[in-house]
Amino acid sequence: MVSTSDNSSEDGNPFVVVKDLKKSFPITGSRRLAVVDVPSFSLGADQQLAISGGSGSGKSTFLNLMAGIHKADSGNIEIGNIDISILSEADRDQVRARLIGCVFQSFHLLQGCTALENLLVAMSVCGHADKAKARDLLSMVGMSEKENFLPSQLSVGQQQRVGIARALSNNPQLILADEPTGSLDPENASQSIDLLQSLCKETGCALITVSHDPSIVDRFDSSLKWEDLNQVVNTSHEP
Amino acid sequence: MALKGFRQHLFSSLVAAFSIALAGGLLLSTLKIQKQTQTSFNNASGGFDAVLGARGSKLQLILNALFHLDASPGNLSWEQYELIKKTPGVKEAYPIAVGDNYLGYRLVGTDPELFRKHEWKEGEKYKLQSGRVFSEMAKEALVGSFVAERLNLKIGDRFQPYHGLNFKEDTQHEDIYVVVGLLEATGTPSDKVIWIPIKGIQLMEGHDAEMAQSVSAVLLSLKGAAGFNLELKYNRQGNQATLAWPVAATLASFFEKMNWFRGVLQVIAYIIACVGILMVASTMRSSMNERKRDFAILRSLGTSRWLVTGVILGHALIISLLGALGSLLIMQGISLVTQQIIVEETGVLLGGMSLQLVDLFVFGGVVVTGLLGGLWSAVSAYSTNLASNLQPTS
Repeated sequence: MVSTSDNSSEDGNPFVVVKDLKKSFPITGSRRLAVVDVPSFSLGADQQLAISGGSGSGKSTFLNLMAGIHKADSGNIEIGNIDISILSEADRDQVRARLIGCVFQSFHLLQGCTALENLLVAMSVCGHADKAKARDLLSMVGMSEKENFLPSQLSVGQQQRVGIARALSNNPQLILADEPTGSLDPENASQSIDLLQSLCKETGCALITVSHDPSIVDRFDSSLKWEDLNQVVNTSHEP
Repeated sequence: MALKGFRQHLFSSLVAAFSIALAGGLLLSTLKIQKQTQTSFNNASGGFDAVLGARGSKLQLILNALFHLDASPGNLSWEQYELIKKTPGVKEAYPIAVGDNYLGYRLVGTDPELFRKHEWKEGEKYKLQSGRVFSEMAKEALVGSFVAERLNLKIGDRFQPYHGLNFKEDTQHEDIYVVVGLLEATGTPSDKVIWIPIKGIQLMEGHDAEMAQSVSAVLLSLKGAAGFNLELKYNRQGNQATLAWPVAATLASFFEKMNWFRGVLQVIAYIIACVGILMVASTMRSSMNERKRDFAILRSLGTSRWLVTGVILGHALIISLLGALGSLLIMQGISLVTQQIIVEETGVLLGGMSLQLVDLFVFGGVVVTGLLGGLWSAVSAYSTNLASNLQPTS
């Protein structure tokens, strides 16, 4: 069992608390593949943590569970005192909209929308599309001159900046970044991770970054190895 | 998002909207034209209840005498006209004679009292744009509004009629007529003919001497139960003449015979509607396939399944609304063209072709049709698996 007590916030109350979290996926027939088995995990409200591990080991699934995208087979996930593991899908969607921002390896921008519109769409999900604020965010990531550009007209580094701005657009309290630099060259990767960390610090937002790149993991004060956090032995099982 | 989807798939969306518009427009048009044609033709009977003519088809009699179409089935004697005129129950009786034309427009000989006393519609007598009604024994003409406009005829113009109901250059009569009056438009077949004294036709140079004492038909207004009695007298007991009464019933049976054509048009419209639904479904499906990732991204931002479904339905709704508006435009277009054709051919002006409240039901039906086309993709959007469309990388 991994203790993450050194990741609590200054006031000692963790923002993210995970207990006995398990998730498996069906493979063939009634056989299931166990992917996540995390007995304990916590993160403070303004903590920044990197989780490292090999590809295909279940890190993204762990992030998806915390984002409420997957429903856990068992266990609890508390985000800001809300136990999302007992919520319905619609309620998990709402929690994600209000409290969580996601940054993806493939950026996942809406291709038919400009940089500004991508932020406005994300804001409108929470019901408060604010053009001025969207422009401020783009300015913070150095993209104000490209607000009317489509993703196809932006470089990969620029797309990730927009992705970061979008993740912050709904005033999240937790950012989940899944291999945010995976599609970037070293220079863009360095700039993106610096931007992400500084903006999260500025806004007081917790940050969990998953990466298999040691140079990225080394930039974080706190880091965990996924193999130490996850108890899965990676064998399939009958339910 | 729905608007963006529409713009991103603009061509296929517009094609889908057009096919729905075509279906809706055809359906609306067939319903309206069929209904209004029957109503307008009934109203275009010139205020007459019956027509007496030579033995033959009632429909041919009505078409010839009231709508100035088709050939006369034969002639009646002047005595028969005088007899029916004096028959109790006959309120009005006007003789008509046909057999000549001017540049393809029929000349109809009649009693000038028709234009002074007869109400072609309840409360409406014939009115003159200019000039006067012809004198009974003079070679004078009163021109219907449609003919006056087409041939640019004015008061004082002179013309020589041609023999027959169809224009042939080598059949010109020697008689010269002068235009003394122009009628105001009535929206009835009266507008499409040139009226002259009945003696004019009867005594036209080159006509058989027999014509001098014949009429093509007698137009009748009846009172009370006269119709039943005359029907018995002429159609059941007699064999000299045919009474076409009531005019509306004869026309109704004619339109009933044409119902199969309306049915065919409606079947075509329903087939096009099915094609429209399939086009919308295909467009939505294509849009859905291309936007699965977009929907997964929206879901990852916290958008609910229902909202994502709403984006697809919104796209389908935009197509449907465009289609519905288009159907109204197409209906109006078809109606205008049909009106023009019917006026040109028969002089009957179709009324009630403008937008009415009942058309809103078809409008609604077209919108629902379009939405049905988007339903399958909407269901697919609802059940989009978020995680599988945003594949985990580790």
